[in-house]
Amino acid sequence: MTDRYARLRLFEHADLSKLAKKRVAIVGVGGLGALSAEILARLGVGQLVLFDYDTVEEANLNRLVYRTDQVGVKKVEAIRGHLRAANPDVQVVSHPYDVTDGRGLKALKEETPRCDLVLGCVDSFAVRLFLNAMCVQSRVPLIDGGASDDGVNGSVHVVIPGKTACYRCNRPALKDSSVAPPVRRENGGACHFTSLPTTMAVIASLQCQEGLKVLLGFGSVAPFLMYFGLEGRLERVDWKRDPACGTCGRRRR
Amino acid sequence: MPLRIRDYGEAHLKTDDDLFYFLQCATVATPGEPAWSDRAAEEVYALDRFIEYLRFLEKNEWISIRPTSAAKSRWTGKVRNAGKEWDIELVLKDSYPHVPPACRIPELMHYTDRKVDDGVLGLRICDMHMEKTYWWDDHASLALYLKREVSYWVQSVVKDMREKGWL
Repeated sequence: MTDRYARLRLFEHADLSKLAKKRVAIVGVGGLGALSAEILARLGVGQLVLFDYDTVEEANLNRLVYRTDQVGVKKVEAIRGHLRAANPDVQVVSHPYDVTDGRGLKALKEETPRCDLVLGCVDSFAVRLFLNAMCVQSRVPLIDGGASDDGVNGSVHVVIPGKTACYRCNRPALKDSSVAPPVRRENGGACHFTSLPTTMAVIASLQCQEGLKVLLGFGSVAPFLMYFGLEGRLERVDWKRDPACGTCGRRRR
Repeated sequence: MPLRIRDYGEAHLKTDDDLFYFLQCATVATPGEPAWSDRAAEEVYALDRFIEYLRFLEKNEWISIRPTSAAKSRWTGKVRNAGKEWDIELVLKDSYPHVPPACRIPELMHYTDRKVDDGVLGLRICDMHMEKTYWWDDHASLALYLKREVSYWVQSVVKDMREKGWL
């Protein structure tokens, strides 16, 4: 009988069996996070801690993992069974709450320092910055992933507190006169963006690939990866830390 | 003695940058933390300065809002445009000011798709657009949020409604 990790044991760059002792939090299990959770589960990461207050909607079904019969079910509950079926060795802890408020915030504050890695798979810039600050404070690596509004591009940002640029570094500050004024919205402005399962799968894979390197210490971690789907191009950016960054800088204002 | 916009004078207050001096808070504290009372006082100060700015310089007092919960985590008031007036509510999550407030203008939200479902607080106005020129940080105040986000949202939704003959 072949065991499930047979092919992973042949991997020469690191000992993947060490993943069984790792604890990874995934904030947001939508189009991106659900796929990242499945990849990590199949790799044999010991414990996955999932956060998402949302429920599965029909509009989510164009992406991977969730099924039609799960519409209306909390995402963290829907994916729990899926992950268990994919790999019963993995322990799944689920928090069906908003990480910026009440029980979710409390759970995030408790869970973050206990994790070896946090994957940010959220759709809001505000929550990205919030997670970034939380991880920098707890000195836990964060890997943020996201896709562009048009669905074909994406990026993965690796934040290793004290080593790589955090998510706030190099962002224009409020007092910076280069910040463009808010755009006066005239027409349109629908608040739903497109989401392609293909792009999501690329970004989830890149996010987990960098996650493996961070967890097991092999290869060269890419601080920032940009994926351009229309051109089929991947670009690595070695962002430098901002010494005056409001979140991680040594000369914080 | 805290500066007032009237004292600062029209001669000095010409650009958004000048106004930002008044609309930022020094204290960073969430509603559950001991320093929140300081932050809440700074929020009220910033809001007063903003209203003063609207009254004396813009001559258009389109917003009036005050804290209506003991913890000052819920602010309610009125927003005005095109001779009409609507209820407005700002709700601060436990992680405020690390994340912006959630804003609801129920009557206007009924007529537009520019809203998002928070899942926790329910429907709120869509502030996803602010992400293009993301300016929010821990020192930004509710007054600044009203100026840089809510005012544009209201203007654009009212414009849409007028064009469609709903107003």
